[in-house]
Amino acid sequence: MTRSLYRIQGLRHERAGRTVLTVPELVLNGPGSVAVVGDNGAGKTTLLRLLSGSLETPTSGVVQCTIDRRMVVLVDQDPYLFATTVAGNVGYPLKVRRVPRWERGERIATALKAVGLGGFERRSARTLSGGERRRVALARAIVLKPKVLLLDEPDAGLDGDAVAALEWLIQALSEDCLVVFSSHDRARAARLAGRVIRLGDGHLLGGSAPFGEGLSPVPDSGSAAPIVPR
Amino acid sequence: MSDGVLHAFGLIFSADPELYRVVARSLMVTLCAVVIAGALALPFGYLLVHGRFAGRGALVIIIHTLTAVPTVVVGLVLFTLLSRGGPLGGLDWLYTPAALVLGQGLLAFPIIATLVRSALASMDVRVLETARALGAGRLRAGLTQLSEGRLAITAALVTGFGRVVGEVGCAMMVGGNIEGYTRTMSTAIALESGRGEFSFGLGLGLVLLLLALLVNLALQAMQGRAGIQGATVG
Repeated sequence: MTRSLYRIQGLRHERAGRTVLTVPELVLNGPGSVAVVGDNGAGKTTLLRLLSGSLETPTSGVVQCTIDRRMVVLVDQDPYLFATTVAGNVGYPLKVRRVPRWERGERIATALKAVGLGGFERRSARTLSGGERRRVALARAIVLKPKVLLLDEPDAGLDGDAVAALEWLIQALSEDCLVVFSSHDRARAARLAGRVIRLGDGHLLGGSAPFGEGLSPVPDSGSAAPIVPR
Repeated sequence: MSDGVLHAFGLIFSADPELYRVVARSLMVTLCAVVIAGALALPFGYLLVHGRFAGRGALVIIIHTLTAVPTVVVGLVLFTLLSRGGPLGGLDWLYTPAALVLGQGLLAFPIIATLVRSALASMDVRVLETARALGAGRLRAGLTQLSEGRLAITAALVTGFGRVVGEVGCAMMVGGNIEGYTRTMSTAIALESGRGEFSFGLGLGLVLLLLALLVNLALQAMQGRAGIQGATVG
């Protein structure tokens, strides 16, 4: 069942004294997939980081999230992998959440298979190629079975087969989860996403709403809780 | 001179009991000092990087300055504190191994804290961000960062060890160089050389060099292994 997951109102975010993003109103419903498109410097990454709730808080305005923030995961464009094995990386968020060891192994294997890296558990993360590193980061995010998955340019640096697999994965994940991904490729965004949000020079230019969630007006959401870092 | 070197090797390979007693005591004192100083310097170094408090900049300068304080000055201050009329005289630690540990710990602390701070400050900012984004709380994210910097931190501990294991000034002043009790490698070298017993001093000097070599080899091996293998993230 589709429900409101995010409600943004009067958002303005500054970095080094310069306004980098302004979003008057925006509602995101899930499950489903939302693409954020725009040129370099349009504010795509900033929007995703603000949605993550743990990395940045807006200079002014409100970003409300109706679910537990720990069920929101962001995969960076250039993800950092810890200096450990692939399994150590994918299992990190499970370890943080004290998931029992026996359950971790199974979930790590499933997540790695989902991104096409089955059997990579014991490999050192530092020996992987760029594309493999991005896929490990994706596995590290989906292993949590998040409610919201934020992907910053997930197709960057991936070859044709890997992009096809990624597209399939986004579509599969968006059945149970809200997947918000940024992209330069408008055609891919339109093909994959149920909704496309356009940003330009730090401003919301518009967005389609094919599965019912308009950009405005903002619906009432009594259970909405502000995102604050723990 | 060559006779002295040969005699020194003879003492090492014949497992001269007095020589190895001094070596064992030195190692024990320095290891204790580095473990205690390291346990305090790690969170202190982390605070110097991530803490938000007034006077942080001044504290960084003070800690940097303390790395250059002559060991004999630390020995003198500690002697004043631990002597019978001093504020810590009641502990009755002067001329005991505890005083040696305290002295070496005080010398090692600023060195380790400075190196840990530098290591953490130069780390990829994405380490903390990634840990936080994956649900780690502040403490867990901090431990993860320390784990990611484990090689640099180990190097800091090794450097601290190397700097204090051979110091003479402080050990002489607060340890008193008492045979069988507070005599360390460095104070023994100073004493035996003063007596003209160069071979014993040379033997200890060679052991010190060998220790430095082994510690550095171990560090190199760790760094090499970390490049191809992983370790557990905290």
